[in-house]
Amino acid sequence: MITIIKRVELPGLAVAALAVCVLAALCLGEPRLRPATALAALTDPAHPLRVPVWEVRLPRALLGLVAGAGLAAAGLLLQDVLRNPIAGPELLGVSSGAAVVVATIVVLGLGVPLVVQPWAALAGAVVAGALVLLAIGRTRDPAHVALVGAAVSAACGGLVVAVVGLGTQGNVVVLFRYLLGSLAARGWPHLETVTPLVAAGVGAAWLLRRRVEALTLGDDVAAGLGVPVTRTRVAAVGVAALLAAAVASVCGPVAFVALLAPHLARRLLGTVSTRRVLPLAVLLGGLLLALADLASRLLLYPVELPVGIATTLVGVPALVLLSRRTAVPA
Amino acid sequence: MSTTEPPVLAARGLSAGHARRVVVADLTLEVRPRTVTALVGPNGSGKSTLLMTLARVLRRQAGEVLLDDRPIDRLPSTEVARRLGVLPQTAVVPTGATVRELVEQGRYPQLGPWAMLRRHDDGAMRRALELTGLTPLADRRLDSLSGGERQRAWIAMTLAQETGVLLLDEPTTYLDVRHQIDLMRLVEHLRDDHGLTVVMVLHDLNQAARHADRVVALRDGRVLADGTPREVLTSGTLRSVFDVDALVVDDPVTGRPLFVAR
Ligand SMILES: Nc1ncnc2c1ncn2[C@@H]1O[C@H](COP(=O)(O)OP(=O)(O)OP(=O)(O)O)[C@@H](O)[C@H]1O
Ligand SMILES: [Mg+2]
Repeated sequence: MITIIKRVELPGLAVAALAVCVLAALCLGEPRLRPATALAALTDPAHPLRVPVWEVRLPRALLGLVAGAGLAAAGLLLQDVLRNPIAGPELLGVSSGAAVVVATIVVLGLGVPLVVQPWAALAGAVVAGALVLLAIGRTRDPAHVALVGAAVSAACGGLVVAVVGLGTQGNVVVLFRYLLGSLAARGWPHLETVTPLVAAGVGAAWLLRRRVEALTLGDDVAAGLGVPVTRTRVAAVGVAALLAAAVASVCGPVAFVALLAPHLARRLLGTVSTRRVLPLAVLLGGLLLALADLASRLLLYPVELPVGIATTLVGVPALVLLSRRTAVPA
Repeated sequence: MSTTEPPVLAARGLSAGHARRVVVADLTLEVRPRTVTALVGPNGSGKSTLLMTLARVLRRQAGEVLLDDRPIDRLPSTEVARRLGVLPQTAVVPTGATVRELVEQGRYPQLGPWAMLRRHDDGAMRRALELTGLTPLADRRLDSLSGGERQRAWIAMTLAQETGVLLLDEPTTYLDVRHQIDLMRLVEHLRDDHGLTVVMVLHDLNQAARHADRVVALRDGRVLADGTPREVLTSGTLRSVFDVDALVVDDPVTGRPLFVAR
């Protein structure tokens, strides 16, 4: 009975928390607004505060939700399909591979249209991910995979620094974005670029949910259930790479949301079943990134930190806890 | 046992193995409907390889496998999974999943394109839990169960598939005597009352002798003996298959052959 209540109410609570979070994002900052004023500016195109609320704060808050949702779906797919509880686009080098490509495009002014950038980023994500997969060979040891992924990510970070250093506009904001991830100065065009891709990716994850869940029982059991094992694994990793690349092309390689959101959802729901975890994980991913963005804006106000610092500060201790809990006992 | 009916499952000139390594070469085998076949043989003799290839979990290297007289490769994989359920030795216990969630996975082949569970699925899952005696444990986490309870949960998952053919790899491993007997009775019940065909790998020869209609003995990927328990379980075959010196007597309870190592 309790689990039934949980399954109905937790998504409701998450949606409510998301709404509060967006409202707070609209109100906080300079100038600080009352909720009523923020809502008035939202609904009235002639309102004097229309620009900060509608053009700056709203798209940024929504971008946080969408990007977080996409990252969460990517993390869930990778964790279940690779049977690795600490898998995620950031730990497989996928996010930072995407960031290298986009940083190169932006910093060197290559003039690639915004809508094409996610696909270019996907190429970077696939190359970095393929490097990791080649390097790990046949091992399935979660820690080993994460270690190789971290090495590839570090190499990509070095490339980002080099690229940003090469550029004429070599400023710290650009460096932050492609090294750590940031939602600063993102507007409607960015949201419009990433939203359809995230929607498609989350939809694909939903269609794949049962096959992915069967893969958690081992390849042979899944094959015995009629699941096309290799095709499912390739599809799920491809969808995860696309999601991570789409997000990274706009926000940079925001870390740990993909890792944490699925685990949080599993904890709250008390289940590991992919199909049950997916909806709440997606909502929590959006919530986590939106909260992290608020924190990064307000923590050292008026100085703004890149959101990637906030997610990393929360994510690293959580990763340590997780890897301790999932470590193979000696 | 009828020998005139066409086989439900057959291998013709089948070669199977891993990567390029051949484990089972040019094997021919026919499994009649509503029979229980025991696959026996030493470790590494190719029992699991054969079973997985019959289930199309492993890709065959040569020859063919026929399911209901049709080449299994021509059937869509969900169609195969609706007719044939398999319990591999390599199953991975998902940390945190419950018995019910595991059994639910057995319904995957029956689900429609949107993969939604319907009422009939609930019925199949309930029956699978009942048959394996797991109803009281349905909401327990698999990693909190004993090895034998967990083994029954895997069997329940396979039963939830509601297939006419069951391939079980060492289903009695981890089970205590009581549950081994229960499982063997369940297999007989499924054959007699539900018309199922079962092929299972067993290590306990007396169990094979007692509960199987037919025993197939493998060694180094070849069939060394194939027939009724009485035909196969002789001291001669036991020596050639397992290198053991054994006495075979009549079981006073069942009248089946009983093997005693010397
Ligand atoms: N995944 C694999 N890759 C390569 N070789 C394998 C693989 N699985 C099994 N083998 C090899 O194939 C041969 C047959 O193995 P198989 O698992 O079929 O034996 P088995 O009769 O089921 O043994 P057991 O009683 O120990 O389960 C063995 O020599 C084994 O080393
Ligand atoms: Mg075996």
